Amino acid sequence: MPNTEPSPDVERAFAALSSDTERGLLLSGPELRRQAVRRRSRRLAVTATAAAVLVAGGVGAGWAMSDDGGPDTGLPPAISGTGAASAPATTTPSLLPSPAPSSAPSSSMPPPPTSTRPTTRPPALPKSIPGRALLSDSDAGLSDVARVEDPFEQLDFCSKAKFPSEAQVGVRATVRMFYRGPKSGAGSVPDDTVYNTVTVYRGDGAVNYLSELRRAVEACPSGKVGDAEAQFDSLGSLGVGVGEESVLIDRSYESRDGEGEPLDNGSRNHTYIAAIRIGDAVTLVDGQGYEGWGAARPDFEKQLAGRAAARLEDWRG
Amino acid sequence: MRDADSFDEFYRDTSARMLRYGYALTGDLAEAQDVVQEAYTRAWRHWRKLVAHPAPEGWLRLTVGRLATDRWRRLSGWRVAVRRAGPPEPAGPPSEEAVWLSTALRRLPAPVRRAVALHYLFDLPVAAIAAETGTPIGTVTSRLHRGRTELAAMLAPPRTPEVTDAEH
Repeated sequence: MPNTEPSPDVERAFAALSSDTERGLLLSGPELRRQAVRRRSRRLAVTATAAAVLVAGGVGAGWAMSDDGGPDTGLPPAISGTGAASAPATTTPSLLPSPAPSSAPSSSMPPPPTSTRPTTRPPALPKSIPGRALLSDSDAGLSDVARVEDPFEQLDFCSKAKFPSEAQVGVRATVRMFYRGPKSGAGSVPDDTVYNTVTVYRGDGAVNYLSELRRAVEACPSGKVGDAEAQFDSLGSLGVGVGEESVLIDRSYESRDGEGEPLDNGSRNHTYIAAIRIGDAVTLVDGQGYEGWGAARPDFEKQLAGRAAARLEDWRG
Repeated sequence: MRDADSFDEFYRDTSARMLRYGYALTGDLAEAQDVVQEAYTRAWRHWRKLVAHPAPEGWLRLTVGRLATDRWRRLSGWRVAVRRAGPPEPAGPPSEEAVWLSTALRRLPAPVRRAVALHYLFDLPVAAIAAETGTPIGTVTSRLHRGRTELAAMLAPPRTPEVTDAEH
């Protein structure tokens, strides 16, 4: 290795990984091109009917869901024969331990009685976040709900956004899902990709988190989300009766065409973030759009944020 | 058809090592398949421009790197859809050593992981990695050194306790 000493263990491990890659499957070249054309056609069709605009830094369209619900042709093994050499068959002593689970260590204390509000006298932390506290497939417009096992990633704003309340996280769980609005059919392209995270905090962490979100929007009128430049605007709260307090944030991107090029017409795609606090718990709803599309605020507020708040209220209120 | 032929040839020549790269970055072969397919899909969409690019494989690596690094935030919808309608899971279980390296790579910061993967899988010199990632040469050197050192430590077999220790 240039400027570094060689490491036989590392080289052998990379050779093993290269060899293991032969298990992988890729489409053939012609099939990949056919899929690309199908996806483009689908996107253009949706563009014509949805009267929406595109966004998000050159991100392409989603995989085409073919009419018969599956791929058309067989998938040959990945082509091999170039790049790194195949791995020698070497043995290793044992596997490294798996990465840490995404949820924080749980308390052994029982869940609190549902008749008391935890604001003034916080109950013990629950052992885990139950599924009923999170958005689910049974909620209107939602599908493909799945638990997120990766560690929680804090929302992107800018470097001035700070979230010291992370040190007060007690237990947390996240699900991700697709959302289709009332005007979209069940088999249509989704309108939004949504992450719903419920966190129970220690102390006043929940109150702090909402304050930190408000400050983040004030401090970051713009910032980067992945590679995309985003603008952030506070939309106040979700209104009276939604949690004990709430925050609604508009996150928008410059509109782009199907090839990822800026439309240069001043239009923007809007996605929404809502955080609702009930006692020591916060449900965060992060609508990230679908394949670079924006979302509809009324649907987000009512069907996503509103429903998430109701679920948290049922569990923790 | 000339475009299609040249693309197919490029795909045939480069996709295997691109899949290795995706595997090293994501730590999961199924995810690597999806990321690599997506990168080539985009390459085909821009093929007429890309074919004139001085380093089309570098463009692919850049795209794979971006998709792999930020895959959940930017591809979540596509990822779920592709699981439902896309390529099947990789054949058979991963080898023990591959799992071991994947786990170790995941513990490295993404820029370090990327530099190490570019070196070990593509044999790129420091200057080329610096140019491709838009990073100063000194930073790349530092990342390579750190990555190699940390990986070597994680991959080293556990030491057997010495007899003198065992007696206490």
